Amino acid sequence: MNLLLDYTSFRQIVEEQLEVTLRQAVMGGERLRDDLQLDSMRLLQLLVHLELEHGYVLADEQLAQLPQMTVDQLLQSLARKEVV
Amino acid sequence: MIKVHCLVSCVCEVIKRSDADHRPYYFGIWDADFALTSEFVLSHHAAHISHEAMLDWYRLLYGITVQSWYDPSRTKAANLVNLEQFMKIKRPEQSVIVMLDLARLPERENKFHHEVFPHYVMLEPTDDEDRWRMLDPDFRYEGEFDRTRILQAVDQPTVAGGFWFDGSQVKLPDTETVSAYFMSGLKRHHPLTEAVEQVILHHASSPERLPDALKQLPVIAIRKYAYEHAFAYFYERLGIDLVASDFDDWCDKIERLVNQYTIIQHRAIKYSMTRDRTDLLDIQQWLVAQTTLEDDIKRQLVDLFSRFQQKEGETDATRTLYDQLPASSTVIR
Amino acid sequence: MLYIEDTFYTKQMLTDHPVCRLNWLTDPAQTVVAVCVKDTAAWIAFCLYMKQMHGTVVPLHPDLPEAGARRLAEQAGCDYLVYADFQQPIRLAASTVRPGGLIQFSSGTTGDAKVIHRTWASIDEELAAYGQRFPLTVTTGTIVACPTSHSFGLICGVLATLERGATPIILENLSPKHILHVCQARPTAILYAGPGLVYLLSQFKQRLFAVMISGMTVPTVWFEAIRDVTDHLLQQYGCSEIGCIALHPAPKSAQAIGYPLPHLTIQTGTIDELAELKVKAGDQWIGTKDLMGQTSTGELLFFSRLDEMINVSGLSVYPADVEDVLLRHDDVEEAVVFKRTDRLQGERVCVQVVSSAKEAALRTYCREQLAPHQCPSDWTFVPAIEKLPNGKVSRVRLGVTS
Repeated sequence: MNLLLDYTSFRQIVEEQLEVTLRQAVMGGERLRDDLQLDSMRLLQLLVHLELEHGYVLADEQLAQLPQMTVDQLLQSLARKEVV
Repeated sequence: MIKVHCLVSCVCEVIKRSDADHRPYYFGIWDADFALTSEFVLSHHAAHISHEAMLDWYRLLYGITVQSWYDPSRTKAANLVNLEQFMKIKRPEQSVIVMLDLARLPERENKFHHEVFPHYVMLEPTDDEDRWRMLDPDFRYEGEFDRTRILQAVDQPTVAGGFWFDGSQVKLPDTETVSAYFMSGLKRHHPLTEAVEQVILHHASSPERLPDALKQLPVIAIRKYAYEHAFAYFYERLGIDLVASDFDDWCDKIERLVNQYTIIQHRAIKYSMTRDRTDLLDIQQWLVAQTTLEDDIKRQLVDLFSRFQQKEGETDATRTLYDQLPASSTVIR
Repeated sequence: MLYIEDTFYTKQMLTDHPVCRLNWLTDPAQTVVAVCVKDTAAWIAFCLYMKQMHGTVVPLHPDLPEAGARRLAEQAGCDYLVYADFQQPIRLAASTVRPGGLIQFSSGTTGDAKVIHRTWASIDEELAAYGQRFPLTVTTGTIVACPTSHSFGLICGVLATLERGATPIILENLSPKHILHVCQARPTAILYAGPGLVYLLSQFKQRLFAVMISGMTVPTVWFEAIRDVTDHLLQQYGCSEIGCIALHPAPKSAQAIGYPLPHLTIQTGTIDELAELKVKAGDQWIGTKDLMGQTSTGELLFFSRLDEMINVSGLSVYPADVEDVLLRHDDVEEAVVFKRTDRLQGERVCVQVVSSAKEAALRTYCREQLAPHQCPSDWTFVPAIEKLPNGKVSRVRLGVTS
């Protein structure tokens, strides 16, 4: 699986940007909302950071499903932003 | 069934267990009251929002009078005593609804993860006088708690309210009342999208607080799913097959309406970081799209409703003054 | 002459219609015929024919079941009931001979509807006066989006339009989308429809050229929504006995009834001293049961129903009915039911009661005896009912001051 981010970097970004402490190791299968306790607004903030700092985006159609995604699903769904 | 509005869900529980159709009660919930503070922060609940009108319609539709046991003129402590006493003497056919802060009960799944979360739930006593059963129809949760934990969640300055009612005789809503209720909930404009527009406008020049201002948008946006209940109800009453018709297309549109609020929230957060005018324009375009989409949904709904009225012989919409006033005149000798 | 949906009917086409040559109708002037058909063209052709021949017609709503149509036709003293088929009328046990005209029913609160008869002469008189006061140009066509079995649609919608030489467009499909489509196709025509339907139409945000509504009990929210999408909003007021009584070329509120038509003699109150509007019909005075006041410019303003009917979001409640029920309760000494109004919730049923019983008990009692919308929502327990100096109770005053 060729993810844009590895789990360690993901964890670091989440903890720094969202100012939370993740109580568990990130192994990929954790659900963003129910397991990592990240609410929808925090997730959107995360996305904005990923876009602005790293150039990774999620398709608009998937935004609403974000809280139900697992870490893997999110990382797989991210794409590099096309520079226009 | 998507969780839409906690008080509505609570009072609909007893309706769902009866022969009556609970779906008409969702009419108008798509534009249910919410608050926009003077600092232009969107909020799903505020002390000044009264549920009196909604509960009056509940009585008109289902014949059940929902009364307030919570007395705002008395102290919280006095009200808690009242609640405890009521729970001791209440009969099985009586239902108790209480407003509490769900954030005080972290064991409960709290999908919105807010620090303060005013929410209506129902309570039942158990055989153990120190344990109460909580029923949360909105989140489809049912479980037991220590009485004191529940009281703690009620004993918060951010929440104040509670109702009770006797659900033993549910009346089937008649077409005339259903029709009148639908008319009463119609709004040509879309208050939520307009409020979001105002929030964006107000925070446009300095958007640091924009994300917080729209934090509760998802909680309010989810009420748009009430449209689905109305569509399903009218399609069925009109004898239109839900599967074979365009019902699913409309459900998709309703889902899109809800989901696009998430996109708007995302763009707002982005704008608060970039302060880029292009991002602001993007938000405004999405708001226009929301208005157009909701216009479309409401028009279809109104058309369906009109057909429903005509099929049911509910001539209110077509009735003119000449026919609507009974015994309009007497001959004076 | 006129359209029925997309089909244009010339005068010739209507007079050539088979309903004008029915073999069973040998002496139209001496015959009373009830008509309950879905075929609008046939009904209109027949109505115009009977008018010309000085016969008597009794229009019935097309959706009535046969038994119901029969009952009404018998009550009106008809010789025949045409139910769906003009060629096979139902012979009835007839009738007193009428001097031609239109027979209608006014819905009663209890028991049978009242039979109302109007001569063609009186209708013609109404049409002349109406035409005189019609504020738009004579060439304005009319989109009739209401039943032509009722006087609003038939007399004001169809006949008045023909009278001024314009073209009525009668719709059979009353779905909002369809009506709006027709409105868009006919941007100089005026729409005649019930206020509720026009309110639904306003949801579509399409601008309407002109609308005629009739309904002073229209909620403010409806009136404002309609006014916001309409360039020329007109309002009229009337009753089945007399027809149109007043017309308003530019109402600012639902209560602005209009200016009395010139052919009528009326009697009513002033703004300071309201009184029931009475209208002279022949040598009889007819009371409309509506409390009104007339301004110095002649504008009629509606204040309230005389019977103090409360309009709970379109559902009618008569205080007397609710009071009767309460007074039958052993523990209720006195009870007065009245209304309170607020902008958002509209009118509510309120009660002031002298009783030793608890509110909960009386609420339950009401629920058992009355329809839900009749049950008072606001309860005030008093040692004695507030009365006026003359000893009478003023429901209006209670609704305002308590």
